[in-house]
Amino acid sequence: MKAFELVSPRSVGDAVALLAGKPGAGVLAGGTDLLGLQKDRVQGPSLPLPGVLVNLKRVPALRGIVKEGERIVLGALTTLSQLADDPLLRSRFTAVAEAAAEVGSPQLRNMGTLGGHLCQRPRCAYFRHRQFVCLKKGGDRCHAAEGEHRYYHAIFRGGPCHMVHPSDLAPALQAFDATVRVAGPPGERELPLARFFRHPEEDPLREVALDPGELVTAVLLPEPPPGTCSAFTKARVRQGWQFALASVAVAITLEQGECRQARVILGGVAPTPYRAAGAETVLEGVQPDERVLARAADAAVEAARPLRDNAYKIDLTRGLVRQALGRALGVPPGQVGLAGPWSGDV
Amino acid sequence: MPRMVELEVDGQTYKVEPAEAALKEAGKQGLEPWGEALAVVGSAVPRRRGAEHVTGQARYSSDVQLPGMLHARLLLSPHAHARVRRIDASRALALPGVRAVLTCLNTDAAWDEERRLFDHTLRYAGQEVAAVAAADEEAAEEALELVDVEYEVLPAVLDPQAALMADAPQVRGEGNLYGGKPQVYRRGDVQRGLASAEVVHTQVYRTSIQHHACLEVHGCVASWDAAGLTVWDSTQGVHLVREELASRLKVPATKVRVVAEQTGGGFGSKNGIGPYHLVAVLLARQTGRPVRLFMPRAQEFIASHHRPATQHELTGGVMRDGRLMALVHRIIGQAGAYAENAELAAGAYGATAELYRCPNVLMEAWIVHTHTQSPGACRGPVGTEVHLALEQFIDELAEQLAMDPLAFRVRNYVRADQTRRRPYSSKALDRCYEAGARGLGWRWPQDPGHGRVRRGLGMSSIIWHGVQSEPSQAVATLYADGSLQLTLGLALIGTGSETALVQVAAEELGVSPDQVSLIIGDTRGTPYSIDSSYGSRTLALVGPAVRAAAAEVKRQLLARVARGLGAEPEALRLEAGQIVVRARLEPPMSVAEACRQFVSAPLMATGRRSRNPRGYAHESFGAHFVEVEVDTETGAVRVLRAICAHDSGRIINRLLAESQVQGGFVQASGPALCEEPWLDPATGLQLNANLHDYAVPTALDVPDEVQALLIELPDLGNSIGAKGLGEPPHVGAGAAIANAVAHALGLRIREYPLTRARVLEALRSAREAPGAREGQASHEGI
Repeated sequence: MKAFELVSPRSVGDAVALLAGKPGAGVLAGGTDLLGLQKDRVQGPSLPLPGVLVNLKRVPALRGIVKEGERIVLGALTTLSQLADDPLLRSRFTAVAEAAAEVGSPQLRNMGTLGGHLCQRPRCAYFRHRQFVCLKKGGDRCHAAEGEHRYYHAIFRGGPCHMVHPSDLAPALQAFDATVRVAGPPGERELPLARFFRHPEEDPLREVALDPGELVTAVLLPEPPPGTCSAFTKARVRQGWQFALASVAVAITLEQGECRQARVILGGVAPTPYRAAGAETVLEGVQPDERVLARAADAAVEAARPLRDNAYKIDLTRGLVRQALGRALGVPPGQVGLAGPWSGDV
Repeated sequence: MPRMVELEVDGQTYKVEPAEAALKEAGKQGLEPWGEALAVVGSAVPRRRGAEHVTGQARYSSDVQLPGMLHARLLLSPHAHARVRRIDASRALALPGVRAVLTCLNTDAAWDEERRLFDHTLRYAGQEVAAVAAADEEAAEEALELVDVEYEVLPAVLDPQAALMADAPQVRGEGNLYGGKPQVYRRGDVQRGLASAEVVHTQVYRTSIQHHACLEVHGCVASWDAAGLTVWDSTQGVHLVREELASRLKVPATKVRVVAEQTGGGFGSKNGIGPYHLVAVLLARQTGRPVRLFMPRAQEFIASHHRPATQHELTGGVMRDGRLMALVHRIIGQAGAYAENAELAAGAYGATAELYRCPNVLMEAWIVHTHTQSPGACRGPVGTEVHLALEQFIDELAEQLAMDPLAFRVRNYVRADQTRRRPYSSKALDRCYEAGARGLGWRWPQDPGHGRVRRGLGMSSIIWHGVQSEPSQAVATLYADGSLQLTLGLALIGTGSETALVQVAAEELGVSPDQVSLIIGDTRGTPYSIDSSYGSRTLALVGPAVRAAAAEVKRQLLARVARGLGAEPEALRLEAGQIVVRARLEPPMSVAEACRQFVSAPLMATGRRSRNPRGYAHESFGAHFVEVEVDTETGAVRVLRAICAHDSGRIINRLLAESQVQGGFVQASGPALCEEPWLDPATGLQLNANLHDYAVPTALDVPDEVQALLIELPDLGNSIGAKGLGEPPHVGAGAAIANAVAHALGLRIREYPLTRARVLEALRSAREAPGAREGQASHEGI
C-alpha cells in the first residue's frame, strides 16, 4: 500500500477543519472499503490516491444510537454489527437491522460503520481495476456498458456510468424516510437520504452529495406510523461475503388490514437506491393478498432497461420484491393453504 | 519375465502377473499384503501438526525473512498481444531502495524453447514484462509504476471458436490448432454403432475456467551462497523444483537446495517452476542478496494458471433396453498462447472411453491456441471437465429411454479397462452405487414439487487414474530408545498424507504413531520419494516405500533380538507391537524394550516401492449422490446433502480421507454454482482477480451434510492396498449437482456455473418457448 499520512482529530469540528484544509484527503472510519481502494491503487486523472487520511475513530460524538425528540439518531461511526443487533431497530425498523446483518461478513460488520457504508465506492470491476480509466476516474467512457456487466451493473436508470449503488442499508433506511446529517465548514445540514445519493448524470465522479470538507455525522429515522412492518431481502452470488445482485427493502403501514402507506426501495439495481413507485401505488389503498403482491412485484420492475447480459436481474428483483413483501406481512415462507387471502406460497 | 497367469473378467481372458509376485520382488524379505486386523492403519489419527495450522503457527515459505532480503515485484502485460517497442527503467532504478530491474533489454534468459523470460513479444495479458527488486515491497510496487513501456498493440484472439476461423490472428504462427490436428482416441466403429442404435442423441456442454485460489500465493525466496542456491518455495514437490531449477540454470542438482516446510495449497498449480522462480533466482544472483518474490493476489491468478474453459459435443447411441452402442465426444479446449501445458487443455482419454461398456467410441480433443494464459493442472485436470459433460450426457441418454439414470449406468457396467484391455487391479464402483443410493435415498422417478422451491436428486460416477509403476524411496531410522525417524523427500501440501505415511510405518514396526518423527519438505538429506505430489498418488506411491523401509528396520531389529536371545530369526514374530519368540518362554517384549536391550547404533534402512504387478489397470472409482433445492423465483441453488461414495482401496486414515472427500466436494461445488472469472471481452484481462469477487464457496455455502462413504477394497497394486483419493471427490461433484438441478427444474442448463443468472434465464426461456402454457403467472414457476 502506498504510504499515507494519518491524522486523528478528536472532534467533528477539528475533523471538518482538517478535511477543508487538506483537499483530496480521505475519510477513514472502519476502513473496510477505503483501505482496499488504497491497496489496489484505485486512481485516475480525476481520482487522486489520497495522501492524507483523516481518522474519525477518535471522535466519540459520532458513535451510538440515541433518541432525539421523535427521531432515532444513528451515529455515523456506529458499526454494522451494532445496527444489526440493536433491539429497537430489530423491532421497529426491522428492515434496517436485517439489511445491516446482510452486509459482507461478521468481520466486515464489526469493522464497517454506517457512515462509511453509505459513502462506499461502487463495486464495478472496471472502476476497481488498475488497467481501466473509466468515467468515475476521469476517463471518457463506461467500460461496463459493452463489457462484463452481469452482476454489479444497473437495470434501472443506468448511464452514462452503469454502476449500481452497493449499499444494503441505504434502501432500508430510505424505506423509513431517513435523513442524513452532514457537518461541513459552514456548519451542520440535513438532507433526505433520497437526495444524498447522486446519479452519474449529475456527476460521474461522486456518488454522494457531500461538498468538499463535509462528512456524514448521523442518519436520523422518524418514528414510523403505527402498524408499520418491514423486511429486507438480498440475493448474492454465494451465501455470504458478497454485495447484492439485487436487494429489496419494504416498509408497509397497515390500517385494519389495508395498506395505508408502502415503501418499496430496490438496491443493487440502479446507480442510486431505486424507489419502485409503481409497486407502492399497487399496494396503497388495498388489502394486500397474493395477487396484489404479484402485481406489485411486476410493477416494481416495469421500468427496467437492462444491459445486454443482466436481464435476469429483472426476474430476480421481481421475485425478491414478492418475497420481501410476503416476509414483511408475516406470511410464513413456503406455507400453503393459509386462512384468508393467502392461497399460495410466498 | 515374470510368471503370468490367465484371469477371466466379463467373459474375456487376460494375462496378468499374480500380485504377490510383484510385491515380493523388491524387498529383500518380501512383503505380504496386510491382513484385516490392523492396529494403526485405518484409524482416525488426527493430522500431525494440525493445531499449528489452525492457530497460525505453521511456518510457510512466504514467512521466510532473511537478513538483507530484497522484495521483488513483476510487471505484467496489460495487453493480450503486443510487442514491446521501447522500455525505459531509468526512473524506476533512480527510486531510493530499488536495486535491480530486469527487462527484455538486459535479460536474455530463456523460459523455454518458445520464449524468453522477458520476451519482446507478449502473447497474453499477464505475461512478464519486467521485474523489480527493492529494499521493501512499497518501493518495489512504486518502481513498477515508473518502468516506462511503449507497447505496439497487436490483433489478439481470445476465444477458441474464433481462433479456429481462417482469418483469425495467428498465435504461434503455425495455425491455432495445437499439433495441427485433433488428438484422437478410437475404438470400434462409431458410425456403425450409431446406425445400429435405436435412439441417438446429441448435446453440447460448456464448462468454465476454475482457479486454484490457494491461500498461500505462489512465490519463493531465493538465496545464493558459496554452497550454491537455496530456494524456499511454496511447492507441491521439492525434488521436482530442484531438478527443474538445476537444469534451467545448468548447475548440478546437488548445488540446489529447495525447502518447503509447509505449503498453503497447491491443487496442481505448484508442480515444478514458473517464470517467477527464475526471476527471483536471477535477481538474487545479480544483487547478491536474498530475494523474496511472492505474488500479489491479483497476479496469483496468472501465476497459478487455471483449469481451462471447455466445450463438449457428445453424441450417443443406445438400444431401448439401455445398452450403450456408441459414444462420440468432441472437446474443444483452450490451450493459451504457448505449447507449455497445452495438453492440459483437453484430452482424448479418460471417462468417456472407460467408464461404461461401449463397443464404439470416438474421442477428439481440439486443443486451440488463443492469446490467453496457458492452462495448468487443477485438481482432477481434464477429467473434471470430461465428467461434467459426460455424466450429464449419460443422464440425458437415460432420460431419452425413460430409464432411471442409475439403472442405466448399472446396465452398462464394465469390469475391465476397455482402452488398455486389462482387468482393473480393483474396482468397487458397483458397491459405491449401492451405498450412495441407499445413503441418499435415491428414488426414480422423482417428484420435484410444484411450488416456488423445487427439489432434485442427482448422481455421477467417478473414475480417476491410479498410480502407475513409479519408483519411490523412503528412509527409516530406528533409534536405541525405540523412536523411529522417517526421512521423506516430499512436501506437505495440506492433504495430511504425512500422517498416513507415519501410520504405515507405525503399523509395520508395531509402534505408536507418536514414536515416529518426520524429516520432510527439504531436498537436503532426503531421498527422492516423489518428484512432486500430483495425480492423487503420494500415499499409494510413497506408502509402499515407507512400509518397505519400516519392514527392513524391523528385520534388522528382529535379527538383533534373535542373536541376543540365541534364537533363530525365523522364530521371532512381531505381533500387535510385541516381539514374541516361538516355542520359548521369554515374555513378549515391546519394540522400545527390544531397542533398549539390543540396539546400540541406530538401525537404518532405505525402502523402495516395488513395481505394480503387470497386466492390470489401476484406477480409483466413486459415485456422488446429492440433493439440491432450487428457488425458481430467485434462481438460488442450494446443495442440501451430498453422499460421496469412494473406492480408493484401503483407507489408511479415516479422518483425513473423509476430509479429502468433503474438501473436494466443496471445492468442486464452486465452479458448479458460483465461482467464475470475469474476463473483459475486449482485453482478456481478468476483472475479478481477488478472493472477494472470485467467489469460491465460503463456510456458509457448505452443504449441511457432506458424507464420505469409504468403500474399502484393498487394492492388489501395491503393498499398502491404497489408491488415490485427492482428486476423485473433485471430479464427480459438479456433474452430480448439475444433474440434481436438472431434475429439480425439469430442464437442463448446459453451461457452468449454474448461477442465479443462468437459472433465471433458463426458466424464462422455458416460459417463453412456444408451447409453454399461456397466461401462467411468473411466480408460479415455469
